[in-house]
Amino acid sequence: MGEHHTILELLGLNTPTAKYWISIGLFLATYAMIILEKFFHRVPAALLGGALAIFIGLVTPKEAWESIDHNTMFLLVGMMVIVSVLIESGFFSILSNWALRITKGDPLKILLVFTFLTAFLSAFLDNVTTVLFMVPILLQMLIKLRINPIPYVIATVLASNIGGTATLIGDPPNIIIGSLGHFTFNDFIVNLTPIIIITHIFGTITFVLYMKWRGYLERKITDERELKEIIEGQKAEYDIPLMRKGLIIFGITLLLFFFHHLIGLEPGTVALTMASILLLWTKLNPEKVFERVEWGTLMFFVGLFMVIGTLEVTGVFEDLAHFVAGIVKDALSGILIIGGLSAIISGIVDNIPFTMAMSYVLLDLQQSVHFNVEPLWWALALGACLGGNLTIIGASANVVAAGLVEKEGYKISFFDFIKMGTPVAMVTVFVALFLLWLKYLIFGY
Amino acid sequence: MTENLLILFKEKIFNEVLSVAKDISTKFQLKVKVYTQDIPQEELEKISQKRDFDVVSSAEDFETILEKERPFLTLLPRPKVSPIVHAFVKPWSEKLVESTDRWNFLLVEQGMEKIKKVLLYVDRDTSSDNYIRSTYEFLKKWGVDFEFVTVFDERYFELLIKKEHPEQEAKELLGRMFEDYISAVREKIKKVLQLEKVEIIPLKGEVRKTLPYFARVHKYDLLVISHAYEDKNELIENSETSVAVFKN
Repeated sequence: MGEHHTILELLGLNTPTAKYWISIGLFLATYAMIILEKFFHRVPAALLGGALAIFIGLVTPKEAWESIDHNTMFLLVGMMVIVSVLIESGFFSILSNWALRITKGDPLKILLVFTFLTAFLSAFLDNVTTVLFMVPILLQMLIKLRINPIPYVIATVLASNIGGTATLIGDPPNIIIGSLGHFTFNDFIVNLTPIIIITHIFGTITFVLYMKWRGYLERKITDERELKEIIEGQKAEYDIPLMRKGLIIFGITLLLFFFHHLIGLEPGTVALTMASILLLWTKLNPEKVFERVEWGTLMFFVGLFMVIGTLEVTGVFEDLAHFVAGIVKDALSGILIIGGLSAIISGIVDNIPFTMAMSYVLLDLQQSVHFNVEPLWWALALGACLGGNLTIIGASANVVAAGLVEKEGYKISFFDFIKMGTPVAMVTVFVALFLLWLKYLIFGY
Repeated sequence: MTENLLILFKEKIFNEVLSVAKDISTKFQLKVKVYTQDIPQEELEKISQKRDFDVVSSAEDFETILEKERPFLTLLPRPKVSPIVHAFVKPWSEKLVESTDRWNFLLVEQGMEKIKKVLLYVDRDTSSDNYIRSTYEFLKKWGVDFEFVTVFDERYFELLIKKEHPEQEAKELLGRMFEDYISAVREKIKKVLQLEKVEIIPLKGEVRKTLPYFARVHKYDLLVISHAYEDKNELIENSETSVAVFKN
């Protein structure tokens, strides 16, 4: 057997320092391709970034494979299958007709009802699940009303990321923080939920003002008779027995999500198992069900995880986290520094690997500093979760929503998202960190 | 025993069932018997005063009553519930229709005082000659407007054909299969009823979903199906119109 050399070895660039800088270069190049969506589709762009990391020898195929978060992937596939069956059963059409009737087709009411419901559900469900559940209803309803759904979908995703911050199970970074920092469900309720309730109000005011300013809250159908006809004339094609099975499995899945820590199962395992049971139970043709699974979104995640995993392997994340820790002098300033930086970084890279790296740094910090680092954990949670609203790739739910919208023939561009997401992220991060800071200033540690 | 029309009520009286029964009994010269369970006596007296129906309060289960009375047709109420609630709460009348295929039933949807527009479902494989003849004669004698309808379920063939044939060819093949299916159903009806010409509404999709949806959108009052249709229970659940289920 001949000896194999990687391209980096052949070029004499196999040193840790070279790999470190090349991984940053590869990440930036991939990121640029994702941003330049007029020229490149984001899915092959992310996949190429991940594949090139293996091709040139930055990481081994095994390292790349292991950097794909299987929990996220299983959760996505499982929930997409369950939601696909619920779509087939007509459940979302029924809900959309119901929502149309209670909001009477008023754009502001639609926005408020959906964002509030989404934020509430996200506190108890994974954000991706909430988005997979809410966005199809919203899309069906807005298309009927001839309203551009993009700003409404973005607002819904923003609300999902805000609401998800409120509890231990609402967002993957919180699950990581809870697990590594040894915080309970109740710790999150006491420390984050009140802050998030107030933050959500500020977030809502921000996107409502933005949408009003841009004229997105105007009715497209002004004739009351036509509107009434649309609202009352909606008939859903549904299948009650299929809906029953779908809702039973969905309910059990949610229940298991709640107790997944107690039974030692990851949400992804739960979702994949329940989706498989649902397919067997309903006897639906799997190929038909899989037609609704967002394969593009899944492949985007595969590529993104591999590219970001490369930064982890070459030690970029570790350095970043140490740099942040180095400038933290006390807990109060730490709240703003850790929270603010986490928000910015989470808006640029996926918040899961970053939160993980940062959590290990905080664990180290706990041993070496004289102050209580608990406020820093909460600042990390707020920054990492709310920062996900900065860009379209800041959180998994954002990418999933973009995929859902694309299936209906619309497109959320990188800049469409930034226009709404960035102001909301800035306001919510500022309000949330200020409230956390105020809490510790008034009540002490 | 003379054939009669039976009405079954449990806990609540639905006036629309009484109205439809009156209409049918007048056209068919049938005697109407109302069996009730768990309904106060004064409510029963109101029925007797208003209509020329025999009203019996009985503790026997409805299956035994059906066996004893052997009615030509049994009318049952179907309360209006939202589809999501319906997924978890099934009315007793639907359960009764699902449990047996020995009797003709008419589930009268709450709020449907008069039945005027009817869809008569016939398929190629399960609809028997007896079903086609008896339902046709019943609807004709009743004097309602009715149309034959059939549904071609292409989903099964679609994936198979699309895998093995280019898109255009698959489309043409499916189109031909659809035409053949409709023509087979039409010939079947013509032969059984000895008619020269039969108009039929051809639909594509999954019968249990497509048929109730079509009836809902086009404002039909009644959907007639046979007990032999394999997704009978699912179709009944998915309907928001009245449904008649006849012996095959």
